[in-house]
Amino acid sequence: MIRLSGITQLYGVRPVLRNLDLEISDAGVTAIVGPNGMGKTTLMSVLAGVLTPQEGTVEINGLIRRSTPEDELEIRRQAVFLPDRPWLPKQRTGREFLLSVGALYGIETERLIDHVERLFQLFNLAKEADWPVRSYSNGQQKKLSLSAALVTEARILLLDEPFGGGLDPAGILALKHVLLRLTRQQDYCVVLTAPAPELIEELADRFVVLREGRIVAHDTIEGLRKETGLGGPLSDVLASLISPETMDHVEEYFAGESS
Amino acid sequence: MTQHIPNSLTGAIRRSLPPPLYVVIAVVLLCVVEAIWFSVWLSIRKIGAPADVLNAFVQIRDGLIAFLLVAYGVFRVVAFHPLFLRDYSTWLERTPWQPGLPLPLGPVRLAWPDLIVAGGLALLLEDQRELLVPLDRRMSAVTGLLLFMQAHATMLAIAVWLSRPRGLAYAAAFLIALGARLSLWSPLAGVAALVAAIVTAHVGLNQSWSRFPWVETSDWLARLKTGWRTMQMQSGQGFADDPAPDRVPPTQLGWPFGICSPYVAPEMISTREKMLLAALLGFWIHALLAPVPPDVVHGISWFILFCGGMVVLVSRLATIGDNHLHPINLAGRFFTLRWIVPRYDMIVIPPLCMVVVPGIAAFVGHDWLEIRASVLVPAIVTLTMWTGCLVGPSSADWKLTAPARLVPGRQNKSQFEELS
Repeated sequence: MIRLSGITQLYGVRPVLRNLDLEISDAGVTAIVGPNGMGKTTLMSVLAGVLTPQEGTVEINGLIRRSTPEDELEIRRQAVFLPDRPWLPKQRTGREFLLSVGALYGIETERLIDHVERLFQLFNLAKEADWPVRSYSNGQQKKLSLSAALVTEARILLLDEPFGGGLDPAGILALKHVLLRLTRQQDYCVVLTAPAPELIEELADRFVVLREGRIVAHDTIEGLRKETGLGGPLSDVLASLISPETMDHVEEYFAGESS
Repeated sequence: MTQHIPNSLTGAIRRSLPPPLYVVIAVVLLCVVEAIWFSVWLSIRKIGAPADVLNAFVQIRDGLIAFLLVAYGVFRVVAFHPLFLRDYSTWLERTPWQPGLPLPLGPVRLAWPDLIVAGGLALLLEDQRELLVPLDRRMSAVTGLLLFMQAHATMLAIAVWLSRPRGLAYAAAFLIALGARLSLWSPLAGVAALVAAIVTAHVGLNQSWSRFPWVETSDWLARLKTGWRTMQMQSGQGFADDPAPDRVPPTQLGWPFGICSPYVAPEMISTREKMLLAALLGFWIHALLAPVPPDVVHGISWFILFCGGMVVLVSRLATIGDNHLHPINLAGRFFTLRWIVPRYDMIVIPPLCMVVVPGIAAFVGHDWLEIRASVLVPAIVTLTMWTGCLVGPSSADWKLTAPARLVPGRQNKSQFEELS
């Protein structure tokens, strides 16, 4: 269970998150969606503990983030964060990197070696496993960083834009199915952000819709449809919640052309 | 038989000596000083230059010999103890060698070839020919030999400390400093304390073999920077069967795994031991400063204390690193009237205390109580270290709880690929 209480985060004097309260249940995929610059990454950073909010607390499985060294270490064992732009050690091979990350999380050596091998197979990186990271393409580096998050075996995955960064269709498909299986069969809790609704429509169990630093909706897709009164695809439902003025802008754009 | 003895004698000495290059450098240095002395001596004889000029060269030569004796004492441990030689230790592990058997490279403890090498060097101190003008105090061959034994015992105590049992190492280190201090009062008492130190260090050395190959310590020495292997050991993962010997240290894992992981570098010694070490260091400084004239001590010690204080302050502040940034920058603090962020700013408390507390103690001790510098300076050094041990928070705790902004470090950015 992840619980955010009264989270307020300001950049300078500009509020990015305003008194947010949020509860995310144990298992399932929760997608944080919202327009650009409305606080998705900030909210993810607060959840991950890399940003301490000016006000409010983050509670993960009953432990308060950054309250005591013991609690923080325990949270770090249970929850792993993958930012949209991670830094990877370019001189090291992909295998060395994954083995090292797994060891940091105390994964038993034999299981770790096996898991790393399966991850390379999953993301079609078996051939590149022993190449230095600098020789990987952008998409391959994204796959490697996703593998690093998975190799930790942390039950809470906080993934900032996991489908971005040049991930190819095969990678997107693999990731979608892995996340589905982990949440459905192994009770993983996944919180992710995604700019494009179609990527997460069939994946996310619940959506947190952010707008101007506030949560405007937190529900399942059916709940959101009911709330907006729209029965179409997720993109239309979200568009009406996030930016209802978008279609007006389109009309204004073409109206300007004809006049 | 008659041929065998000289061969074994030269062989044993050769094995005890440092590599030829170092021996040649030492001999050349001695020859250069001798040559200078000789030219000065000639000029005194021929043109009547002031004879006391020679004394300066006598002191330089004595100092050089003393340095060589100390260096040889240190070398006899560092170059022969498997603890300091990772490859040697690894190789030794794979041989049938067992504690109690002679070491293949030669013994760590002192042996008779050392007496010949160190004794020969020390005898140079007995050369009286150049004393045209008497010196107040010259080093004797016995003092030189004691210096060599002090250096060897000190290094041995360090080796024993690293390979445990630490209690005997502390006792030996204390006795060495005590010997140095007592020798000013009674040379015999000083020698007695040094002998006790040597015996203690050797008892410690004998006990430490039972823990060979000291995996944790030798690995710690090799990877002092990261503490990575120590962590692996603590998590129950051995080394001999480690399938991935080239694992990446946590500091080189990039963002966020190298910074936000549940890994914390383990502490090698407890706070209590740190405090004991600080007290021991203070006593050592006292023993070293005791024979120095008070005005010289006074002149240099305050300068050293000031520099030391600054180093402490800067190095403790540097623990903030470039990964844990302030939640509000200076301008932000000013405009939002949040001038202090208590949970973040508390990292400056320990270094500030480490400068302010000893500073006050120095002022009170020197100006009011008029304590001698040779006592006050060591006391302040110990007090500074105690303050650092006792005033929290530790940098590890602070990094886990401070309301900081965790960011990828900029210092070694060139090592990483940033995903775009």
